[in-house]
Amino acid sequence: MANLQLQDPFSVLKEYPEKLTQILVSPIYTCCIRFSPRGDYLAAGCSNGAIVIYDIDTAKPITMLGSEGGCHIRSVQSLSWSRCGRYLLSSGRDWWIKVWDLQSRSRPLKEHKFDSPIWECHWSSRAPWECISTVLEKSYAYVVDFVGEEAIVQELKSTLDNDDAESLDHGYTLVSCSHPRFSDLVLTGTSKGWFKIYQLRQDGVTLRHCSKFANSNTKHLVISQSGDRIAINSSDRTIRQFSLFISDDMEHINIEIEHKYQDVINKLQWNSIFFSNNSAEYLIASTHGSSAHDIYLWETSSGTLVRVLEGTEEELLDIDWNFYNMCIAANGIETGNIYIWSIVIPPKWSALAPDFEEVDENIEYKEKEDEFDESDVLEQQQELDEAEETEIDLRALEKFDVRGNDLTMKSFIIPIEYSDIVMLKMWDGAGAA
Amino acid sequence: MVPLPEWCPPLDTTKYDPNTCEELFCICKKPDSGELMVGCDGCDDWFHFKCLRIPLEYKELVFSFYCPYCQAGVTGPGAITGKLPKTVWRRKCRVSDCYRSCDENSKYCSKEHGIEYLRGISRRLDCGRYGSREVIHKMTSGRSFKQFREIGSLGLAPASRDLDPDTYDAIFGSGVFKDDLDVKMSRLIEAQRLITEGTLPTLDRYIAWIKVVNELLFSNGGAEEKGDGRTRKKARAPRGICGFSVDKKIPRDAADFVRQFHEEKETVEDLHGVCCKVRCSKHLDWTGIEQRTLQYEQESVQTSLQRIDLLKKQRNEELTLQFHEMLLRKHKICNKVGGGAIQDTTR
Repeated sequence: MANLQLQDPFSVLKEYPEKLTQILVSPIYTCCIRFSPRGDYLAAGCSNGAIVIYDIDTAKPITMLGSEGGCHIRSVQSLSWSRCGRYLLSSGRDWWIKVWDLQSRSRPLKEHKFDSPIWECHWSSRAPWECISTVLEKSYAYVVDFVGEEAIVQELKSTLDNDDAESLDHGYTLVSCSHPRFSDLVLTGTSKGWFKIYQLRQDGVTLRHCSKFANSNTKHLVISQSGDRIAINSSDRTIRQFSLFISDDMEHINIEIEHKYQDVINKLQWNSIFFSNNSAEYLIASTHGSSAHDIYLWETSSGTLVRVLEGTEEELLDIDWNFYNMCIAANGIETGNIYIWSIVIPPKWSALAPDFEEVDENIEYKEKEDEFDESDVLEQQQELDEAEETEIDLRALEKFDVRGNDLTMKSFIIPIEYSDIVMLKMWDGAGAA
Repeated sequence: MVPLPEWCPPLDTTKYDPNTCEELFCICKKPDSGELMVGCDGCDDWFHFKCLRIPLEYKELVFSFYCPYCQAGVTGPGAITGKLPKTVWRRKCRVSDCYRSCDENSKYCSKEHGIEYLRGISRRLDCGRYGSREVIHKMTSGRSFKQFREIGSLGLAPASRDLDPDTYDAIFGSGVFKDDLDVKMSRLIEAQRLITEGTLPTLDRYIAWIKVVNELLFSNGGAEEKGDGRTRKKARAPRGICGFSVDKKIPRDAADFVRQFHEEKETVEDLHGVCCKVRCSKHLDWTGIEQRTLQYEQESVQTSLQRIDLLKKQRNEELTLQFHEMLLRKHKICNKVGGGAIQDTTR
């Protein structure tokens, strides 16, 4: 990928990966997977509480978190990378949420214990150390602030909720996500099909929107990068896609259903959903049930199914889509292996010389009458001189790649722990002796 | 069939030059020019040392030679039987630049080279302070052959401060890494102590207490249910309140607690911070989680301690080696310059 300009623009710019290119065989059963922000690493949370980090270039595991203890001891429910790629937030069925510093990963940097299993936990886009967590059998989500020594936990509940709760039971809050543009907005979904938008402010929490979309559990709630489209996966076997309009002063919030996605024939449930980048032109979902091993891909503007990603021989559980390396990863429900789809770019040699043309067979070339005539030499020379005079900037980094991903975002490189390697050698030696 | 080496062209069976009628040899298919050649035992052709990339020094070491074609099974016995022959070499004399083959029952080509080889070894024993003669004397005197063979099997001699206090302090005094490990180790031991003396007994006591409470609460109920045939199966699974509390403090005597529980008409969900739900899905398996957490912590403390032990051992070995090397260097300089220079060179 070094020289993007030499590649076929139509294959480089493909909007979604199509080919199953890698299978990471995991010795431990994986529950959830997340790419690092720049797509260099993939973190996999396992059923025994272990968190393994894979390097995507080599497709090999490079580290396991918690070599000196402090790991989860029940299955990992969710993972979330910080924007800088250095901190990883994990939550588990063992009631803990933990923050890992990948610079020194032998023990968690910070942790907090709730009094029941965690559904999911993710970084808030508002403040660097803040995260939003949903907990089993709790009516409201929690805002956990890890800034200080001790985590500060605050219920995500407004005064309006109190009045409402007496008249109407909204169920337990199961999922949440942060609004990418209005960073103090948090969207939540409840077990009784309610969708709410809260605004977090210094002086308290305000409920900005509350509406019912279905009569069943919310399983997933995703929002597009641009923030004007949301999708909710619920246990009534339907994915609902809404357009979301928020006025700048947040006074007017309008959500409108755009499409409903259902498997009409098999009535399958959806295990997991994910939006493509920017304004979310595509939506992908993995299917529940042992007969379906695919990822469905719809176009969100028309609601039509455009592609089915195939190639696995088992049902897929969690999915993640990274837009820097344009890879979709999903883990299998039976083996725990991780499958990665990516874009395969066919070599296009003629790109190296733009005036060359690729031909299928040899043809006898007949030159045109004036083709090799010496035209105006002076003019040609002038053109060449001009071309030489324009300065080519080789040093300044580009700000965006072809897909509009921000290239100025720093990527964190996980350091190698040399003492680990020394240890491994000695451990082997000691074992053999 | 084995592939030919990549530098070897495919077999060419031309025996004579069609123009000059000269006999052609080797993989290069050239007439004899007097260059060193070796005859193949498989196909009776002759080959240049140079063309086969065999160093010329090996000329006396050939025992039985097979050309690349015979070794690959293109010609010779391998082509018929399928059993591929291999070139066999004689063993070379141990003196590094001597390429003659060894005498029978010897590792050297001649007695002279045997002496030369051992002299070379003894020269290497010269370590400055003691000459090689002294070292050999020290190693051999008063030892049986068996003891002599065991020299060195114990590893490095420990670094002792008596040998050279200055060097010792310079190396072992500033072992920052080691200090760091010591701190880590004591922290881990403290963590382990906290678990085994504090958290674990507290948890065990609390779980035992909950068990007593549950027995008091439900032992009667279990007996009653036995009459009913349908519930018997369910009664076998121990019924009980969840019993989860955040701080694992026993609020009061079990009997008292039960009395109070009954007084509250069994409707409370939370008594003295103890969760009293009967089938509590929220705190499901909290005992298992707590116990496993502690067990896991203990295990990881154990492995961490082992790790640090190994790291320390390795660090110590490195430092000891450094110490001995410094000593050696010092003595060498000492011999060359004379005693007065020691102080300057070590700093």
